[in-house]
Amino acid sequence: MENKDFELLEKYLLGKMSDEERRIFEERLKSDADLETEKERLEEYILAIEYGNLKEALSQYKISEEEMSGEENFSFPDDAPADKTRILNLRPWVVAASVLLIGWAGYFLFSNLNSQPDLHFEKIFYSDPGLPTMMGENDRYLFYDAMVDYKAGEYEEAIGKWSEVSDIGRDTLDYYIGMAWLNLKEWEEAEQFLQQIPVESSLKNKSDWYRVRIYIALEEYEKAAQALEKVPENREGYQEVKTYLSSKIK
Amino acid sequence: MDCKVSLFIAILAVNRITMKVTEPRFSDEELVEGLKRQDPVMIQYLYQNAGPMVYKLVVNAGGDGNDAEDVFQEGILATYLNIRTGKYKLSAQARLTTYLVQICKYKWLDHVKSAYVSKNILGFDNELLPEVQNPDQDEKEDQIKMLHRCIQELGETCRRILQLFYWEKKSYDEIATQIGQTPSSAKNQKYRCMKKLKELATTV
Repeated sequence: MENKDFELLEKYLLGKMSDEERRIFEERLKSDADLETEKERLEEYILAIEYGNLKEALSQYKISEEEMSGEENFSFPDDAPADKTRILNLRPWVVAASVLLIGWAGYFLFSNLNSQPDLHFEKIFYSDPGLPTMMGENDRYLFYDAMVDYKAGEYEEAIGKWSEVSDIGRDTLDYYIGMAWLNLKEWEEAEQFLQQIPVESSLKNKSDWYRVRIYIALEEYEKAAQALEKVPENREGYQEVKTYLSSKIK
Repeated sequence: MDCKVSLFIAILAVNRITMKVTEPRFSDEELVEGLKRQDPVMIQYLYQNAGPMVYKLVVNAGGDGNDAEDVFQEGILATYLNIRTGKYKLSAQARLTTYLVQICKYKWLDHVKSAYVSKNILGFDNELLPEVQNPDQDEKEDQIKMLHRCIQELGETCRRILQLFYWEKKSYDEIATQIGQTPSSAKNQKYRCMKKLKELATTV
């Protein structure tokens, strides 16, 4: 396809044509099958770019815990009242307590932000959610039983059980034991297990990524940068971490 | 600051007050248009209004909070694609938030089903879940996800240029300023990125 036609396609799909240009171009599209095919292809590329943009944006949102606290919030939206406002009669002491609470939370957050400049790394290196648990009648019961503990935040319990498992791949065990230690912020222990994962393992990339987290926590930035080199650049948060490490290593 | 807070509390304590809290509620038209623009206000609204339902749905079905977050994110992305491709059509019977929750439900069922399939591939047992029919898991979504992975492989500079040009609709002059190149270099670079994307997409 000629470059000129491709640029016209871009102009068309990005809505940059005048009404007259659009009309003429749409006539051409009807009679030129190749151009129509190319249009559909470019539409998909643009949609994939938008998809990536939205996906990146969504990583900053979390389902609100506050909204989940009230059972009434779980009703389907069709049942929700249609009025746009509601009146809340609040007792003064409730309001006063809220103000105090907000003030305290604000102070707490502010002081934490000041004292923990790496706080946002907890979001980047979010905790591995673990594998779906299958508690059927199988001989890997202990492995999945420990996975339930892991998901429940009972990391020490999970480590104890996984240490007794022998019928699961070594790399899988090392990875999850390492992750459990990492969640306990026992960095050295976590590192010991994660660095054992062999190159051929499908968990290698993830283990390298979390090793970066460990070295950052230990303030061993050179080692963190070395581990990061083994992580694919398209990993979410990669560039942010790379920039952070560059500033630390300078 | 403490004095101001104390004063405020004192004023509240002597005056019983009625607070009028305005809750933004959006029509489906507003939500659809807002989601098309990827408007943060609309996204936040969906997280606040549909998110807890999906959370409860997933957690009650054996998942955890992280599963719920993943499923909800996938649900919004699928809804976005369906809006953009015209698959979602505005109607009084299918409110957008209800539609989104329904998609999330199918996503979670798919997730559970794939876990069972993995289980069988791994040879744990021969049990199979009944077929879960998801009308919203279509080829288009798979195709866009595949292209998204190809774009990820292009590297940061290409991703940025394509995002600036095709999503933010910036001119080459503006792109050049942002990436520290001349406008003609930015144009050439974008051309090379698209060429590479095409190559990757056809080899997958």
